[in-house]
Amino acid sequence: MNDLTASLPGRLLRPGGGPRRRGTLHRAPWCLRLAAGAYRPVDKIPPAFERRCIRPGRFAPPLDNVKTTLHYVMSSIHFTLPRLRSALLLSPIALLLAPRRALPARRLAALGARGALSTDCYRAVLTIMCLHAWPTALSGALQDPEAPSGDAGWELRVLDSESGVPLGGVLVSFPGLGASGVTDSLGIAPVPPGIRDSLRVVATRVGYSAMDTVVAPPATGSALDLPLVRSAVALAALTVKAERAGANSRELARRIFEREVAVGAVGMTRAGVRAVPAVGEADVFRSLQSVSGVTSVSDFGAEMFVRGGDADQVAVLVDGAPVFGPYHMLGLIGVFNPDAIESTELYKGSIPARYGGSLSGVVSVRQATGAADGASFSGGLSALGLRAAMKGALPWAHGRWLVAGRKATVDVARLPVPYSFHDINAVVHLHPSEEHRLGVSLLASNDRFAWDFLEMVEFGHSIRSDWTNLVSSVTWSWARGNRISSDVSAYLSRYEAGLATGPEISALVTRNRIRARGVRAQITVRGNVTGMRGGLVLEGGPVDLSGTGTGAYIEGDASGTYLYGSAFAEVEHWIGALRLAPGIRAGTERGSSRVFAEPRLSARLHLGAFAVSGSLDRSFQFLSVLRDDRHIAPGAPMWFLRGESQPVSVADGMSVAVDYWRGGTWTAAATGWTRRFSGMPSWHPESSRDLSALEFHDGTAAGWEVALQKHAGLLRGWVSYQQAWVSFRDGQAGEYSPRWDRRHEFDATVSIADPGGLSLSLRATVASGAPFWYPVGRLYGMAYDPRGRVRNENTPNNPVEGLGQREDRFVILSDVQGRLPHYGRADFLARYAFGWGDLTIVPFLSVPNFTMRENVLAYRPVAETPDGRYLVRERQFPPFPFVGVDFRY
Amino acid sequence: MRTTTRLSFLVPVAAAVAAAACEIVDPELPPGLDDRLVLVAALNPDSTRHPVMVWPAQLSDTVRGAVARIHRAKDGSNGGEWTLVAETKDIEDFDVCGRWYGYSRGPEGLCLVPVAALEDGVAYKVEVLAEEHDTAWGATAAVGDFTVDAAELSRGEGDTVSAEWTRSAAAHRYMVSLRLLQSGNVVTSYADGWYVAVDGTSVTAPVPEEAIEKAITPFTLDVTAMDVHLYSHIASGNAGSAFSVFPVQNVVGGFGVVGSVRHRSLAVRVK
Repeated sequence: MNDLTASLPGRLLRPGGGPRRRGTLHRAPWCLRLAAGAYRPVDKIPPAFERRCIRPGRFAPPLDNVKTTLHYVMSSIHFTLPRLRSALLLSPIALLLAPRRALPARRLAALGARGALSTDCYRAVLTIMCLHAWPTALSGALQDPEAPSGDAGWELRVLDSESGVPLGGVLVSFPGLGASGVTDSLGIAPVPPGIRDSLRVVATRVGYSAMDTVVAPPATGSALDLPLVRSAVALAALTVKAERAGANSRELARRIFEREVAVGAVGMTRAGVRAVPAVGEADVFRSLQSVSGVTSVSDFGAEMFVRGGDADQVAVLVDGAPVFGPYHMLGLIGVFNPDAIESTELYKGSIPARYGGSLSGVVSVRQATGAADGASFSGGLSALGLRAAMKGALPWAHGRWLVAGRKATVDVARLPVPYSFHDINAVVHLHPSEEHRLGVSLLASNDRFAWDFLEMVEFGHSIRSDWTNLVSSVTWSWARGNRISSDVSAYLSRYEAGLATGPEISALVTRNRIRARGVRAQITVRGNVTGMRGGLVLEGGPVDLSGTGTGAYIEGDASGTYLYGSAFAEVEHWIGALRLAPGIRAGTERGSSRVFAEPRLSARLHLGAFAVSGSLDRSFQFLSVLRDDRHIAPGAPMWFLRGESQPVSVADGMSVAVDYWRGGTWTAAATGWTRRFSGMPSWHPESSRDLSALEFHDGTAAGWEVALQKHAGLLRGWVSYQQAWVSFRDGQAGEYSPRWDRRHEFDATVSIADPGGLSLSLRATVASGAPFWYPVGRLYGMAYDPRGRVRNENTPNNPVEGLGQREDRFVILSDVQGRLPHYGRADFLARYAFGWGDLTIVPFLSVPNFTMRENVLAYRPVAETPDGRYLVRERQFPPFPFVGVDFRY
Repeated sequence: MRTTTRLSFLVPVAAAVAAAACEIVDPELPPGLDDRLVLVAALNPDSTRHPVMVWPAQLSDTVRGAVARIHRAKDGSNGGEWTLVAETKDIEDFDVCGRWYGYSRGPEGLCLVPVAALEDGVAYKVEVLAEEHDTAWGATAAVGDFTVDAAELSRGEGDTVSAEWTRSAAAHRYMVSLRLLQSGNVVTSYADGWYVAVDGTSVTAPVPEEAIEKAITPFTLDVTAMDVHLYSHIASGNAGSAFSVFPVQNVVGGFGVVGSVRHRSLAVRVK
């Protein structure tokens, strides 16, 4: 007996119309053949059927699919039998040929090189034939000896009614006789011997209308033609749902792990982004801040500090194009609408050679597109923004699209608060053929802070900032099988920003304008043991940074045009379980006539569930953000293009990681790294912010981290711990710790998703306090005062006229550094999804810092009290509940 | 087993949450934290007296034995070599400096007034030394002489001021204003006044009716030339509690500003 359980069709009745007998079907070919043919109305069945083929007792629910499957199985077997001879002849040859090429593939696949390998098609076919032939032969050999068999007499020849071609594999049954057979390759089916009268015949074959007819023996000859009429096969609606790569955190992590040998590449799915409690609403950057090896220094900022580097050393790309101002609300949240994002990848420290221009990391964001089965609509409303996204398939072509937008809630409600922002996303992917794809991507954003709130000046909040991004790209992708693919893209990234901090703000007076245009071509060749990726990048455009005027944050002019041409190559080669991935990026920057070479070397050794990876790399950065690191003005980043005499930023790094993959649920990683920086622009003297007084600092950083992630199950999440040391030296060789030098940091993000719709998430971060400079006193602000002149007339011989005292009193920071109290924050997020038809509504409650810890952002100067001197805290994010609602349709 | 694993996963999370609820202990303020000085000096070549305000960077600190010096850059040294031209140890009443600089209130500090004749466009270094404090210094170029050639107020639906003046050596900006009536000793808002910052030698700008009403008559136009350091210092910075940004300064070894200022006036012709 076999394991296949089935029930007999309801119309397959016992003689006399008795109750249906249920049980397990014997897999003997005769029984199978009879059962398969029995789905046509019959008058009777052989008495031996039930006795020999049905085993009473075991029963499974009636499944029509079983009948169909049985039929296909039988057809397949009998179609193959005539070819058995040739298959048997071929199979030893195939066995000799196929394993020779298949073995490396199997071994590499076992090592995790899935997807990157393929075997030659014909050898694969031979292998399959070989494997298929023997069971088929055995199946024939096991045919029931007691089954009815036909003797020579007359026969039926089944033909295609249109072409007249003989049809093999047609199941021909003779209900009146309780016998059946299958036509051979000539379409011949023998009729049981001794039949001299009319005979009822049922002929069925997939793709043809079943014929149930009565035939008479041929008057002449021995064969009677039986034409079958073609008929489309009506199948039940079949829904194919394929989760896109990246929909699942483990899948995305594995995909990145298999693609990148470089240490420190991680991914974040859209679901992962939503699972992390955030400020106001889900945010890509804040979610990435919870990943191991990523540090933040302020609750008010979504910036990321990676592997000892500053935030501007993490390049942000959307569909391959750079985004120079990737934040909203003075840096509180990222510019990416969570509804418009498919997935995000982060490269920490060791960056593949195809990425250039950043020292410490790359955030590569891929925008989403719609599904092929119609349009969908999603959006949400939170305290921060009102957003909406529509996506779907193009009705007139093979393609998908997305349009999304977001606007500040306060702007929509016209509330008198000093900020507003909006962003727009648009994506179109066209698939003109199997091999080609054309993608168009657009991201536009705008932020304005205090633009229309002059009264803010009265309170000393005299910062104004606005910035605009317009990022677009066109990418043509071509793939030939799994072996070769290429991408050619052209992109444009425009960034305009203004920042004013002075008391008299009639215009934004520190301005930054970038018009970057680039072309990128890349080809990837994958082999069984060797693969390579190579390409060319040409990027350039004007970068204007000028700060001359009342309220200028930066004084001076650093305008210029850069042209950055480079070629890169990444090679992969397997030596047993060792995967070598050397890479290099080389090129020139025309503006400063610099030539650079960036080796990026990586290797990984696979040891069962473990993998040991190592990377050595060098990176250059020509564009850096300028800011006073002690007195940081929030808002628009101010990008600076170096002059010929100014050094370029360079980072040399080494990292080693051990990754562990346990089934489909757990992953773990331990990483150690060390890096050396040089040419980091900084101000000297303090707060001069004069472009002519820039210094270029050097530094070192080292650290190690461990991370554990659970990808599946009711409880999911990740925990990580990092210890790091970062130290920089100024122009006078004085050492200092940058503000992102957190020595210890523990992050944990867990979520519980109840199938009933409720999901709870918790994020906790405990870290060493960030370095700070002790505040010691105040500087009293000075201003131009037209009224001072009258007073001066009362104070004759005054050598200074026209100056007066501002209300502002500025904090003076000492040269001595300390550490803020240890940082600890726990955020909570509850979401509840319920449906109403096709509409899913997800209200949520997000409570940052629900433990109400008063984390210290900075200290104000000492104050004299009866108890002595003390530092006055400036607090980070207070516990403040955010409510909102997401929806999908 | 599975339950145990899940609970194990939650233990570090719970520990982190507990740590996030711990009490905060502020760091101790180290003694003798800062020995730097704050100095404010605006050199005016029209005068031989150059008031320098000095106070300690650290609150509750005191300054003793202060000396203020003015050095002149040697010709052709491009600020690399200096010649001492003035020095004083005499401490004057801080209120004198305070009044001159328009400070109605402020820190407890010292007022030193070195005496020297300054040359237009020449670089000078102001240096302050004090016992147990770092030497603080800043350098600037003395803004040159200039004259206001014309000042005119066109009355009508939109009142407009037009003025022209000659260029001043080393001037970075010219602050142009209508002289105001004194309405009190405390400056509370700059929105009350009208002035514009001009980087050229002429201006035509609309004037709010309110500014004209507050101006003294006959109308007087004031033009104040400032060097880059003084202008940058007064025009930058934000002391808001949310986002504090230090103003631009140019004092080495300390804080504050060393700049240069010069002003001229002319009666306004009303049209």
